[in-house]
Amino acid sequence: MKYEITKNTSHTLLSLSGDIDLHSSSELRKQIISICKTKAPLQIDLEKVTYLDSSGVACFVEAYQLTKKNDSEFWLINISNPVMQVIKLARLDSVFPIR
Amino acid sequence: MSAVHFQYKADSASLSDIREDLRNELSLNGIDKEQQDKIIVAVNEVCMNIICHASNGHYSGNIDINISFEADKLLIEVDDDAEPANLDRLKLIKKDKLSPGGLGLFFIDEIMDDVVYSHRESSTGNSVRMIKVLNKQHEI
Repeated sequence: MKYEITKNTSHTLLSLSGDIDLHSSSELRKQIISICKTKAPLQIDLEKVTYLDSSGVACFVEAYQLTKKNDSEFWLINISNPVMQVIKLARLDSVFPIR
Repeated sequence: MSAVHFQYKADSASLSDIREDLRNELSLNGIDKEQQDKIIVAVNEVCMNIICHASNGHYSGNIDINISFEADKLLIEVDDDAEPANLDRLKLIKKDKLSPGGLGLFFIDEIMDDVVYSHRESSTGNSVRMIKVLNKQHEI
């Protein structure tokens, strides 16, 4: 997994690529927690993500919960097919804000 | 019936190899991409659970994966040599998607048509035996 963080005036964009699995999700979680500490709205771009497992889903659940707790915002954009399959499997497609 | 056996170290760095080998094997046997994706998710979650939870998270042995095809069924058996798992606790975890390992077990049950968790009879360790009924693209 690779990531790129872009701080805009209105929100922070976290662009992810490659496989998000047990091997990489601890780094993803670290970055999500770090961004959430700033209380900036968090946008996650998943266009180039090729695989997502349950540990990656757990990271997004944590991002959702942390931003909610901070009265901030969290949303997913450009969800790739393999990622959407897993989000739907977890029944989270109606929970996560998707734009 | 065709069968293939793969062995990996129980390490998160092995997961990408597991997924790649499994995809190649499923492709060779004419399984369409949509089914491949789902089966790969299930097997990845089984292996993740071994890496994270076997022998109370201290397992550093091997993961053995046996893949075989029988008529319209895919059989995948994932074995470890870890301490015997608490199978009663698995049933409790399965009831709570949000408990550690719970979402992975939910994925496995949703994707596979039959899943049996057991202690290996012939040796130490645990076994997860999964069956998926297939819609094959073409016979090879």
